[in-house]
Amino acid sequence: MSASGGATGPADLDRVVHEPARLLIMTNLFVVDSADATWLLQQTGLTWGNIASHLRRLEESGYVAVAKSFKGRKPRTTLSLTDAGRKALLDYRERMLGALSPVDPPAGQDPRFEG
Amino acid sequence: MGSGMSDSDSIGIAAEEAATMAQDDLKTLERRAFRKFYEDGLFDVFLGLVMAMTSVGDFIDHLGLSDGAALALTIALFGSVTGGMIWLRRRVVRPRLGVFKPGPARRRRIRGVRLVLAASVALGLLGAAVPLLGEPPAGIMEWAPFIFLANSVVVFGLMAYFLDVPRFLLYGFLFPAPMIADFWWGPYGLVGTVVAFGIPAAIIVGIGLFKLSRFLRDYPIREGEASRVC
Repeated sequence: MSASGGATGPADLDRVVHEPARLLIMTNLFVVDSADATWLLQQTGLTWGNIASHLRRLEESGYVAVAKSFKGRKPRTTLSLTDAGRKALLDYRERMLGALSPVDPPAGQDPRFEG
Repeated sequence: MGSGMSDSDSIGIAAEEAATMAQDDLKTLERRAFRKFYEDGLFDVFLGLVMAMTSVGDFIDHLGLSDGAALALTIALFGSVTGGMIWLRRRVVRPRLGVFKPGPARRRRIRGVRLVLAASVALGLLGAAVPLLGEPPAGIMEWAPFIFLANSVVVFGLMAYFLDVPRFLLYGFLFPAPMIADFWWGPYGLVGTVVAFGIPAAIIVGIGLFKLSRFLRDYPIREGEASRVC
């Protein structure tokens, strides 16, 4: 059962979070309070273009807050996961585990499921 | 199931393990992100240069300057080392690594480091004040190098633990090494101030420079359109 109490199937997964690059961005932002774009670029190994497009999607979904400011004459972009973003990532984790846990392979077929 | 465990039991455990693994991975991710900021070697270089300055102080004493001028020169040297490190961090490290504000758990750890450093400074000041307060307790001066060693190992050990940078523990042993050398071989009679401070300082600076060179190799500035994210 998911945190929200709904059914837990792969179809219920939040597709905004499910996309690998966005998941990478969200997990990296999850472990910090905030960071700038250069840090995110270094952590994820994505390109500027990729980061920009995925951040736009995450910002539209209300999962990432983008704050723009100036330090001296240099622009600075500070990124942080919103409360909704943190909740979405935790829900995703729970749903993913829920979606995988009912798998019931025949005994002995997959050694990873041996006790 | 070889262990007499039912399928559903083992699957339950697998899911539990996966949940723990996911948590561990986030922890690893956070640790890796934080540790990167000590992989540039600048703190090591700074620490080594501060240590080396102690031996430079011996040279300054031999220049025949007045106390004020010697103090001003020492402060200028210390200021230029500190200023140089700040400049390097801003101009070399930040464009490569960016900046981040750590999460609550890491902030608690950083507070732990500050507390440890404050306690260490307080202990140092207390130690420095002992001779000023009158005759020090019998035998305490003989124990001073070992008290300094214990203090150094505890402080650097806790820094290594709180900041997740194990090599700081090594510095805990290297930092008081000159004092121990003085204790065993007289007032640097055998080894001399420059050697006593210079060897551990050179080791620490060497580690720092090695780390810095690897950092510059591994983290090139990724030119691009940062404005696209803005």
